[in-house]
Amino acid sequence: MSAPLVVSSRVFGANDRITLAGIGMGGRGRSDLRAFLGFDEIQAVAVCDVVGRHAAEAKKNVDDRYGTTDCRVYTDHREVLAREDIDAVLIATPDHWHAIISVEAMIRGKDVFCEKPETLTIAEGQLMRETARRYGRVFSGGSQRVWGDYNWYHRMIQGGAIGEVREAWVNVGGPSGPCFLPEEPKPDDVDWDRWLGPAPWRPYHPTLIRGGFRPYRDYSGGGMTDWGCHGFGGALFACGLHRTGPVEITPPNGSDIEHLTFRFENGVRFHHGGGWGGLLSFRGTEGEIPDRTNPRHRPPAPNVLIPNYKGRGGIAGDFVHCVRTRELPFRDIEPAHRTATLCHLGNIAYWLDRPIRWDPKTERILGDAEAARWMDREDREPWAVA
Amino acid sequence: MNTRTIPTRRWPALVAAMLFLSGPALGDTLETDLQYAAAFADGSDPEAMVRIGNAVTEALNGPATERLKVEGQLLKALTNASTRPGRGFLCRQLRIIGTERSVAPLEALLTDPESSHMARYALAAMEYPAAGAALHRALGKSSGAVQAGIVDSLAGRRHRDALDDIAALLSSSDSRVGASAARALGFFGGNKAVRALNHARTGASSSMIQTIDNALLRCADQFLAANRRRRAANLFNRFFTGPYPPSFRRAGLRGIAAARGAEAVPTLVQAVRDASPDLQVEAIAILGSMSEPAAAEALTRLLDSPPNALELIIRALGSRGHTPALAPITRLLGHDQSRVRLAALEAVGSLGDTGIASTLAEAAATSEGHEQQIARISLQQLRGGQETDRLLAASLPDSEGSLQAEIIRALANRGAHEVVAPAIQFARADDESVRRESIRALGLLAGENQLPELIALAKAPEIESDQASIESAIGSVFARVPSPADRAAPVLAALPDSAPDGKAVLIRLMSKAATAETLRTARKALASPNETVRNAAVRTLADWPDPGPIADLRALAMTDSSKTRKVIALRGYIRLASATEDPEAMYRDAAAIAERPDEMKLILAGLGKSGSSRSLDLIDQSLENEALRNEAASAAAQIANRHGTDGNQTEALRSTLRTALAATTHNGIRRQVENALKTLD
Repeated sequence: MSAPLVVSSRVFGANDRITLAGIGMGGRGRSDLRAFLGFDEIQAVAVCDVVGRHAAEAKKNVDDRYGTTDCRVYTDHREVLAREDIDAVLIATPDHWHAIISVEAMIRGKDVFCEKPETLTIAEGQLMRETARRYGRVFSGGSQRVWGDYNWYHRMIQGGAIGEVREAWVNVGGPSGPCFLPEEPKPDDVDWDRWLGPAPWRPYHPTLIRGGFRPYRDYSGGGMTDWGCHGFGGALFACGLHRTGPVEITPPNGSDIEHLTFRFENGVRFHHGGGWGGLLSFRGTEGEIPDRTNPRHRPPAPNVLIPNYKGRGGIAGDFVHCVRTRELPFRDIEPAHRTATLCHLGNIAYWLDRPIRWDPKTERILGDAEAARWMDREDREPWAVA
Repeated sequence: MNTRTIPTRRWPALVAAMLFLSGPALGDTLETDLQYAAAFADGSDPEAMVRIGNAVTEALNGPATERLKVEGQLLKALTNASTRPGRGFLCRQLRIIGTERSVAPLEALLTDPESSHMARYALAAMEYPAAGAALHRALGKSSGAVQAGIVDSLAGRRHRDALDDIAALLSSSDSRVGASAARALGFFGGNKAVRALNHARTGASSSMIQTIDNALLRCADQFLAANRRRRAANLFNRFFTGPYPPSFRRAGLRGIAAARGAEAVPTLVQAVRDASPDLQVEAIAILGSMSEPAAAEALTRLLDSPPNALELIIRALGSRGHTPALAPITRLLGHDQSRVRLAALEAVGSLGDTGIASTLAEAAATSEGHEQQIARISLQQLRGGQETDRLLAASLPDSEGSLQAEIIRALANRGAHEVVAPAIQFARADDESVRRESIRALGLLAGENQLPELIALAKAPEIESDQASIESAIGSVFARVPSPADRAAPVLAALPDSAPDGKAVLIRLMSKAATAETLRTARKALASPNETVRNAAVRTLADWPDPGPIADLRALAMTDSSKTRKVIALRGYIRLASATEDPEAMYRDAAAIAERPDEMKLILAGLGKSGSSRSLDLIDQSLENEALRNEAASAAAQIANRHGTDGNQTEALRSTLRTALAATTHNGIRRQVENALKTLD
């Protein structure tokens, strides 16, 4: 294999490669990294993780791919972002780090592929979108399922198979909650304070660094944002609502409202849970999908052309293509942020156990100061979104 | 936590309860629970904290007096709190329920490094001006990271009263404080903030300069949002023309375009022509995103640029739908650089109409791989509607080979029914690609009226290897014909004059056209002297959409002379069992017939879904079989989850699950079984 031509400028010739660094190299991060390593257009040059063994494993993946030993390892993401020769970063840390690292990366001129859920709070998403637009950076969220797994639904709905869509059921897990895990001895290769970063201080527990952070509110929105960014992301896209948001979110009340329900301005309703189709079910004016009697059956969908990934190779290929061409990727920050926002609003309604109203244009919670308190959360000093 | 479960009411309590072991009640009243919380240590039983959380949510939604009462109790506990986790927990509750009364007690914690963050966590979220004032007061009493955090909170609240004091911190010797101050001024915006930031920039460290510059750009954005365009443009221009890192120069250029609109086009064109490569790329992207027609016209004039820029210019013009650029971009379809050709192919798809259709069809026919894929998509999305469709259809007779195939494909993808009649004809063409695309087109677009011709084709295809795709196309057409009788009619009509092979095809189709008559016909075919017909009959009955032929299948599974047909019949029997009134009885009966592990696995999967403790004997036997133990263990876990606490079979279930735990070799199933055991316990 010939030596790669690595460029630090922001214009790519036919044979130039995009230099990439991976930040947050746990299981999901390494999986994403391996996907990017499959592209000839990518040259991974650095990996970063606060857990030594995660970083070491990722370095091995990179070095094995290129037959070299020069992939650099970092524990401080700021050192990675300070490197001027890096064009793009893959961010797969726990959710509570996404905004800080994404925004810093974009200010420094990097394009960003950030795993979902892209944000921990609504305000973070607003700052990320503002930064992406200010600096003209390519930002792709990491939900590969919205198109990759659910495109049959999109084709069926946008092809008119069920008439005008009226309701969707999205069957994903619930919100996150408090964390009371006990303290356990910290391994030497874990920089625990940095793992916590902007999150409230608490002692070490191994579950948290092994991907078990999702049930806890300080680091994640739970299943509601984890699979929610897939499932609700799919429902929003299928219904053409991925650049707006609901106007009312009503939690279940134990009587007439069985499931948390999002109502949109056009009358469409999304329900959190229920349905018959596994993760996703839709009802329109002229039918339902999937078939209730045989939910796994997928009859041929209308042959409509729906703009989706550009380039080749799924969502990672879409990002690679857009870094080169400066086009907007499929999971651009706008739909990514809107999807995460819907999930956050669902969580807020659950946490406070009361309906909330939302203005999708101004992106504000209406008439409920206590609910609005959850638009953002204070970062632990000295961390903050730039 | 399983993140794909059905949500229920009271998630917060449920989620919390999932996170810890149950234990004895730690306090009967909120007061007692709060005493416990005030001394809470990580690792202690958190049950009392869950109760407090529930009480806080209820009080929030209850009468104001109840809210104030609970808040008072929380504040009292906070005053007495002796541990960091205890204080943190109480601050979290005050974030939810706290009123103005909580401001002072929380303010008292702001300067303590151990408590400051959680005090801000509660205080900064509160809507009361007093909360901002409290944070402001704490600014002068703090230093280092704590002070930086307070500045960030004041910025988040846009507490402009603190602007002067925060501006003074720009020169702090603590870089964390300086950076927070710079960020804050960016959020405040306005001339005063800009002046302070400009002043601080002189002599600042490189990382501080970056923070200041980002803050200045945020100020410029705010000027723009307030329609102070000239003020914004001046600030942006400084970044674009000054000695700034590329990222900031690009942001400056973006800002100029946003502030000056069409007036910025010459600057952007100049950047495309003369600037450094990164600014050139940015300028093209900006021109592509601007709504002003002058931007598109400028991009069209830039189509003489070198290949790297040219590709991006073509894409930008395509994305914004600038049709006047069609002709020059069409000329670039033959460019020697593939990236330019690809961009041009994509762009003409969104810009072109009827006039470009034959060119794109030719491109699709003569290219391969990604280029062909792009050409096909462009052809599919080409504007011009029926005029384009008619032109493409009219060119079919004069084209041949791969071009003809591409035109048929394009018409089918465009949903153009003009293709149906020629496709019937070309489905027997000599050229394989033409036949393939014609059959595909029929599957996509043919209707009930074409079923007789399609069925005739299925009975006697041009070559045998087309058979499966023709049957699949008929299946697609069937899916568009709602009435089974309407689907069945052409199939039954074609039967009398069919040779055995053709008859077999028709019988295979009957499961997709299930009526009483087709069922009778398929049953009758079981007695055919021709083996192909008999095979088709068994297959179609096994695929039947309702349990109508279940007795036939059972009999075949037991007595047929062919081993293959016995297996197909048994599988059909097992499949249809789920649609009967007593699936479990059917599965148990099927188990008595099954001879191979493969069918037993299907039976166990069925029992997992609809079995009960009545089938534990079967599961226990299967657990002893190495080939079946994982499926049996999974079935046991599923039954336990459904029926674990029903009736008097709990002990028997527990025993089966324990055996399953020892038997299974699959980690996921082991967890399933462990969870099921926990449910029973």
